Amino acid sequence: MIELRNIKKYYKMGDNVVKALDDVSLKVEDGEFVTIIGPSGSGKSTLMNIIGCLDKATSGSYLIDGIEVSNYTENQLAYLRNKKMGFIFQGFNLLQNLSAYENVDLPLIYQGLSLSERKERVNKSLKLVGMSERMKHKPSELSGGQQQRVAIARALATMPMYILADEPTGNLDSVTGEEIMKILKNLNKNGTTVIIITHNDDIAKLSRRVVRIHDGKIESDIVNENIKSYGDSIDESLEDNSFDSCDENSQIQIEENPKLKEKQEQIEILDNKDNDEKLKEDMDSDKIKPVKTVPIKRKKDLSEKKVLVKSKKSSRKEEL
Amino acid sequence: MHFLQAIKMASKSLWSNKLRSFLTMLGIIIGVVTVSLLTSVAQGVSDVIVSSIRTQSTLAVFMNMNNNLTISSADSIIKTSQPEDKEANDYFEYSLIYSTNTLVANESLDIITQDGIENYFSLKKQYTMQDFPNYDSMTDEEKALASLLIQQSRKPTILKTKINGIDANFKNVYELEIDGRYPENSNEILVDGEFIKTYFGTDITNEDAKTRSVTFGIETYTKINLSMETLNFDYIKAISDYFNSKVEDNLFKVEVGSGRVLEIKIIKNENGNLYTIDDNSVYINIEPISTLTNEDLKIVVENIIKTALELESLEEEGINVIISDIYDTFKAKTYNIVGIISDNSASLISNISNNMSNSSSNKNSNSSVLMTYMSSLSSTSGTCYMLYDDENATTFGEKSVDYSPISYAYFRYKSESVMSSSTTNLVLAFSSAGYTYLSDFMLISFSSVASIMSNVMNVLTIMLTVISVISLIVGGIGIMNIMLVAVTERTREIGIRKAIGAKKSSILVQFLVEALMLSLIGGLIGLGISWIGILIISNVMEVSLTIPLWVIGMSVGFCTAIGLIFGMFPAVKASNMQPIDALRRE
Repeated sequence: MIELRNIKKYYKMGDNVVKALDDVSLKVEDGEFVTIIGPSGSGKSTLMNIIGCLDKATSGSYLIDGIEVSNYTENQLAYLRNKKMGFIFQGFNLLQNLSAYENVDLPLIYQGLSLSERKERVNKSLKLVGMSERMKHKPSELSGGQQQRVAIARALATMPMYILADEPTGNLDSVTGEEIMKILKNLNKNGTTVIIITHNDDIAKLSRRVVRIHDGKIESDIVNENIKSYGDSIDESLEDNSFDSCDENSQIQIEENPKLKEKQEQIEILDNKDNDEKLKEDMDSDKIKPVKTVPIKRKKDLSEKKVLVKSKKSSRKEEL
Repeated sequence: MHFLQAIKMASKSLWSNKLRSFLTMLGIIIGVVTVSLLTSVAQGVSDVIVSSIRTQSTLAVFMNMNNNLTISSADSIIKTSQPEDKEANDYFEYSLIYSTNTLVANESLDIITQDGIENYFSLKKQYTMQDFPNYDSMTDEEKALASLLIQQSRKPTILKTKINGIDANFKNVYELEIDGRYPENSNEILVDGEFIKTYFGTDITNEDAKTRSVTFGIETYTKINLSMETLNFDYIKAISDYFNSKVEDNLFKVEVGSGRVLEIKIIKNENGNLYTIDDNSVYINIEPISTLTNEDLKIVVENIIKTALELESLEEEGINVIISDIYDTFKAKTYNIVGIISDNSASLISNISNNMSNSSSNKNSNSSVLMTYMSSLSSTSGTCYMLYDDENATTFGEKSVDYSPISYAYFRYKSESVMSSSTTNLVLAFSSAGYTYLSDFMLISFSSVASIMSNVMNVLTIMLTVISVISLIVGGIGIMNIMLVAVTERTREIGIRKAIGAKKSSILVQFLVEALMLSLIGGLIGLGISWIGILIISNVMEVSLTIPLWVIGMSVGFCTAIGLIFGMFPAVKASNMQPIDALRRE
């Protein structure tokens, strides 16, 4: 469980004080799937950095599992990030000169695990995200979706209690983005708390709980009862119990959340093909309701328009 | 984080920037090569020289003479050099050395003059197996003869070297490291390892060498050449059989008309044979008998061959007897090896005698050191039993001490207190006899040479070390520079690593290990290059050099220090980055 009490984060920009977070209080129970949504500049990334122990609040109190960590030293925070947090970034943030395997291995090296244990965990994590076949590839040899899967595998490998995803689908097309979300939802089913930061309402629709943040303040905190996740439809086909076997060593404390324990199910290893097919089936059978479009101008749309303009220009040139 | 992991990571990131890493290392490599190569050479050379000088007593003084001062007059100057009431022997013992160039060959040579040697090699046909294409079909005897031809046409090794005549006092004055004893007789000789290698080959032990003898110069003979139009093995065999039957009785008598009897004596060659086969020719060497004209000689030899081949006429068979020119010949002298000079002592003697004297005759001499006995000067016989090879190489034999010029002298003082005064007296005595110090003669004490040498070498070593340290520091700055660039370049990487749990120390160690690896690998490459360089220099200079352990230790230690010192700042900078700032940086 993480709990923020009256968190304030102020930046000094010359004479002005920018209030990135202004008196934010938030409580996330273990096993929750929370989306923090807000326009850019709303302070949502700052919030995530504080939750992820990457940054310290100016004032306020932050408790992880009831322990006050706002006064932790840098090394203590590093330890927390290493043991309890798994980060997924918009830009994937994989180390370019390391292979997929080595990227996933990195946090385990920092944990000081033995080679055999690391090997087992890395393989398991990569299998879980369907990237076993490409573990030798460098990030530059992978597509965006594949890179994000590796990044998820890296976040998973340490068996964190909290997965913090900052715009995990932001750099991906919608189909790949949905796959990534599906993986995150499945992780959540296993008991991992997932916190997603986004400005995309579509993503928010998939969450049970949506926290809206605006100008550094929480605007609303709604529990969405009518969500339908991708995971629901494919639970029955789950066979692999690889993740279960990890649980002995896992930091995931399932007992604390009995409801989840009941619902806990094995997670399937999805290779891309199956995934795509399942997705199509889901779409056809209307299991996934088309998300209502929110009148927010997405960057993607803008870029598409730009491309159109460009192509017009180039065709004109050809005519000339 | 495990140290091993840090090394793995560092090598990975260094490898991904191969060229940059190498160029950065270059500074260190050059620094280490400079320090290790130069100090090793300086150290090695000074060790050799100083240690060989140190073998001499501090009471020893070396005198070098350039003027044509004869041994006997030098001896009398030295004897009367001290104040009248004192004998020179009260202050020091001394030994006078006569040194001359000589030619040594490991096979006997016809001609000992320089021109003669060149002719000998250009004219003499060299047989190889290729000259006998039908060798396999030959009879055993023919094969034996063919082998003999090949063997006899081998080129001899000629060594031009210096031979030193020492007197009985030498062993008391000069501390030579020898295996064996000093020569006590004029047919005994001390040689060095270099000479043994050249003369006998490398596969001979000292013990074996001490039972051998060496010959300088050549047997005296007149050369007679029997040439055949074609190489006829039957004839060669017949001649060889005939001569072999006469080995013991090598006197040949031939009656020519009017009752005149001509007599020649054929000289055995070094193989104990009376003939030498070469080309289509058979050579015999006869003792020159002045009473015989060349015509008479020819008649005698023709008769001998006719007898050997049982022929009536040689011309019909295409055999010609040619009397070769009779050269001035030198009497050879054979010496028994009684001792072998150690390499250390030999190098000192050849260094001192070659480098400190300005005599032009030294420039061709080989590094071999040969010492033979010159009859004691205290004896009144006044004969120097030495091979003598004068400027024109026309005489070779014994010469009186009254005519032999002194080359150098060694003095050994009885105590340090008398050294300076009696040395001054010596210089004064020679000066008053009309010889100028420095241009005509020079006195050098071994202790001063040794201390000058070691001082020079110490200064040189310090200078080299300082230069190398400076170049290593420059290399270190290069490392720091490149590491700072790396930290800036990899800010995002640092952020990612911190986000996934890298502690401050992990980042610090990572960057520090990278800097350390740059400098240490550079250092090791530098040592490797130096090692190869030392091997090459050792081979070329023919001295045994090694990189001293302290140089290796210093290089590695210095590289470690450079890596740590210059890598620390960038590493601290990297480790102090805030994860959130580092992540934000694109």
